[in-house]
Amino acid sequence: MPPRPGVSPQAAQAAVETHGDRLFRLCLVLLGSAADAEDAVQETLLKYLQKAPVFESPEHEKAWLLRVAANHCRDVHRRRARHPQTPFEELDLPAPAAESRELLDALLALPEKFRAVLVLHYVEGYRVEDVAKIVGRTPSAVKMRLQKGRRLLAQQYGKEAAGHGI
Amino acid sequence: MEFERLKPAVEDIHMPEEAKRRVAAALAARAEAPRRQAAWRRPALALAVLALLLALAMPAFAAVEPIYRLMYLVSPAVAQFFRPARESCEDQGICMEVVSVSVQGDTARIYLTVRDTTGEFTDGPVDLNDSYAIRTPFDCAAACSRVGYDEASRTSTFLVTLSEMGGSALSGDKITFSVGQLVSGRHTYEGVSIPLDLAALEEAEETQTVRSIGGGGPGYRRDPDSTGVFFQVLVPGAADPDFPVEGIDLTGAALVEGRLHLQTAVRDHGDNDNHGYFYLMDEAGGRVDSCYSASFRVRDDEGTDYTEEVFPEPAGGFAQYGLYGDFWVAGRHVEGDWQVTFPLEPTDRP
Repeated sequence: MPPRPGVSPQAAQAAVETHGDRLFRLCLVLLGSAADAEDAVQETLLKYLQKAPVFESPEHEKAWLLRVAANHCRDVHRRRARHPQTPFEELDLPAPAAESRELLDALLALPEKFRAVLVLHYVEGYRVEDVAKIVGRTPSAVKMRLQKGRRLLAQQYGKEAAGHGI
Repeated sequence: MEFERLKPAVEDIHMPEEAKRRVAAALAARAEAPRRQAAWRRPALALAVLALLLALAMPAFAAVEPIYRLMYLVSPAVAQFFRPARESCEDQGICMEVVSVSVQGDTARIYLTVRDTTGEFTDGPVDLNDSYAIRTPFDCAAACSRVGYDEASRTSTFLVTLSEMGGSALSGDKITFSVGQLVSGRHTYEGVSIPLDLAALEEAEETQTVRSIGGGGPGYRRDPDSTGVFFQVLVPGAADPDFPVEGIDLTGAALVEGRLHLQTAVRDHGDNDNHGYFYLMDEAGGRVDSCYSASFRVRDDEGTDYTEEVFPEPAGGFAQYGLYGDFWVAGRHVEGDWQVTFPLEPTDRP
């Protein structure tokens, strides 16, 4: 069978430009590694380009991409024997404002399941029901994770801020 | 701790340009072009015709047979890949039934109906109000949309499409489809003209500062030194009796520091999800959208959600424009427990 033609560089570039930042943010927060996040973005967009799903709306498309990315990150976690938490300043990324850095470090210190729901709810703006669909859990489970995640984040942020004299 | 701070902090993260270039290059090298799908795998036209037929002609008897008959009318090639399921459940006189299932490789298509057996609970086509859940033993992407409604039997028909995330073929796993809320009689007002004379706007006599519980638009920003997102809004007044949208009240319209503030209120917001937005349009069709909207609640009335939309003064002034809006309101709302479990067995070979 002759090989099928590849996706055009323009289509690949457009997919990265359109979705790269949003996917990278989620994957970075979930994986705590810029290199792993880059790989996760690549794998997510690869599925997106190869499967070429039909979407009902841009929101549907966004939710599909976030779900694929979140699933990929979960698989990466399963493969990791353990997950050392990396401070944000060691991620080889442009340094955010000091206050944001403390918050991001506190976020990265949480277990992955709490990070996912916090980012999808507070950053991407999804309602509990929509977060549940993306992470494949029930709305009540997501509510519990949000509740506990908020508490853990507040505790962790307190530690981070105290550690940096804030 | 202010959890709204997460958004700007995380959104401050950008994928490095070098990483974007690497990913784009890898994608162009690795990704094969999507294969053109066979007609029966993406029966968009067939489904559109099916939806039309269901809407116009589905007879008033049990929903199962008409769906099959119409499938064959529209496309025998589509219909032969569907297998009867006939799993159903009933709560509060509303019956949910999985009618037929098609499983092709990693993708399943499921037709299900929701029928108000008594006519007491619904008022037109029902909407699942984002309350549905699909439980599967595998990771999947899923979508559900209404494709038809039969008024005589008060039956809404839905198509659920789900795909195994890893691309593996589906092979008999059981899934559970559940619904917790139904909304019927949802009504859309699109491009509705609002009888408000923008040439006669007056400066607000009184405003208040509120803490936002949500909002959007380019002007929706928080003060980095503040502990929340606060906005100056109108003090809610009496509902405008001329506002043409049932289920949403116009509780304020005035200028604040030269900008137009429009305030709406939705009672019992948690039960109906009524919402909408305004825009300005001049005679030439030039459209101006709000620079931001912010929602808030007031003390002693936690059941009402207020939303304030704010418009900057456009070129030529507000008087050159008319006020319009798009709104979505729900009629009746019922909560219950509808849950059906059924197998996804391959139907590649009928």
